[in-house]
Amino acid sequence: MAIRRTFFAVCLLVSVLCLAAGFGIAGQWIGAVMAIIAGLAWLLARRYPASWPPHICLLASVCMAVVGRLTGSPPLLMICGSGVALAVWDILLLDAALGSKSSGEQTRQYENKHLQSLALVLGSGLCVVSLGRLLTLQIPFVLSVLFVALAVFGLDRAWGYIKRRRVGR
Amino acid sequence: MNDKTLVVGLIIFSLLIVALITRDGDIAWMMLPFLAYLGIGILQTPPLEKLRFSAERRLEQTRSNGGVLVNVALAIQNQALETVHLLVNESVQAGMKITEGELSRWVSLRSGESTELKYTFTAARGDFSWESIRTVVSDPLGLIETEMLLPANAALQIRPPIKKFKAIPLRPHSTVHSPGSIPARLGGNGTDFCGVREYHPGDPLRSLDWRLTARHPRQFFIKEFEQEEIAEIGLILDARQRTDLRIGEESLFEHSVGATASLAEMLLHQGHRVSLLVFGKTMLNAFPGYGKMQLHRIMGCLSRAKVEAEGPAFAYLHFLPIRMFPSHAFIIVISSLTAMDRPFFQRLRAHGYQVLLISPDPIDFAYPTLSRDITNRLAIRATRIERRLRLNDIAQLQIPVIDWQVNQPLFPLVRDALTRSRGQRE
Repeated sequence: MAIRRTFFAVCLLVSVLCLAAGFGIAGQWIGAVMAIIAGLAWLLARRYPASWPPHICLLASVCMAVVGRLTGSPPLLMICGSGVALAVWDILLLDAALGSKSSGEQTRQYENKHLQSLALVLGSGLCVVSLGRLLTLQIPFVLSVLFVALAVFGLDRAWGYIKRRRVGR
Repeated sequence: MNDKTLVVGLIIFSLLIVALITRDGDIAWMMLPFLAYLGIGILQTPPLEKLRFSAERRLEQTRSNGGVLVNVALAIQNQALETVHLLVNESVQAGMKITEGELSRWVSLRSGESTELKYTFTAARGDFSWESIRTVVSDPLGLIETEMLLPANAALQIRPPIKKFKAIPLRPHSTVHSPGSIPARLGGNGTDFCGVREYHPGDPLRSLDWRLTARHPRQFFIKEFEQEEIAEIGLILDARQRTDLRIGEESLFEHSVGATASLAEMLLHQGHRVSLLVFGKTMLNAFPGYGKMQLHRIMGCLSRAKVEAEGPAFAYLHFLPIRMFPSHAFIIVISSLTAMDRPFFQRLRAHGYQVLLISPDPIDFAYPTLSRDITNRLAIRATRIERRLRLNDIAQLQIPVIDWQVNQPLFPLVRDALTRSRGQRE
């Protein structure tokens, strides 16, 4: 419970700071204020975790990151802001699922495993993004189209796999 | 597909579209944490064919009386070789009130490890049965979920509360030729002296009345004793919605059920043959029988009995199939009555049944909740007169009527009514 709360607070702070700082650097003060309001909205969403507010907050954070990037904010801060918003959203939903009943050993194991996986997602995702941005590659247009097709194909396969998994026994 | 996967998928797709439209690589990079999230979720999902669990549901008892706390334990063991992450979820059935424990839990189970979910519930009355335990197996991030129903059968019957009645000596018009406690007004094997008659070949010699035989040297006489037999009793419980009255959590029908259960217990304990018919949308019946097994059957029917909105076929007691009761049975009807029920009692009497009506008083039941203004007082008075007339109408059919105010004990009323009913003509 305590780890979850700490994780949530840290991730929320990082996400809001990244987005607000990104907008601030670009001189978009309205954007910075919006980022702070989004942070407050996350706190409000914590009261209704089983409903749609967390999803709305995540979509809002990602939209702000995209808008920030398009209006000239530093890309790394925007990517970091949206990526960490994903973690905030996930912890919020985890909190709703577990509630205050995480005293059992097996439930604590589940919580730890979840947080480890989330840390892995954030770590690997943001590291690859940083590395990718450091290495500048000139990719021909055909190759980029192929990559996009591959990504769409991969998403489709993943979608099919997830749908098949729904059939229980 | 759960909401999480849907939201992540939507964001990835939207970012891809925006990246392609704006031809901005940084927006494409923004997709990566989300892709990693989805990818790690998929990679950590255990293969469906390797999942194996054993589940068990343990109940402390299979039969219980209303209001008693029932402890339930669900045990699930992971028999797969891998660690699995799952949600164990117990369904709450209508009528159950959970007093303690948890009904769902997310756990990580290593190979061979098991988890146990315990909870306590209480219920007033009902038949509860479970066939499976719902579990949701997923990856640690909860993205790809597989719902599984693990077989774990259990059943519990919560019986209506029984108030123990003392034995009431019945004097029905006809009895069943089976040894019991009711004097049958017939000579035979019994304990009470009945009369003397001439000896017939085959009569047991130990019954010879030696004194009378001595006075009549050419004739033999034997003493006869009154046979003691059992009664044939039918209970009819009215479960029509129009005769029920529900105020808050309390229901008039529940009082009727409790009265029926207490009567059935008393009558079966006395050794009589008892049958039951619950008349409502769902007709329940227990055919005539004796002893403990019959009590179980009757309690089973009573625990399942419920009031439902009835169709026209079940609107009137007149449509009740009375021929399921043996002829000349003693019928006890438990109903708060409607204006249209008199013909039914007429029919019962015409078929030769001896009848007793126990009518829970709906006016008295509702009285504490009604306001005391002049209109209400007049309305209550008019309804009381109407009910009194209705009951008198039935009493004129030589049917003893018990106007039962449900907060009063039923036993003295039944005892008095049965004592009075001995003079009831056929």
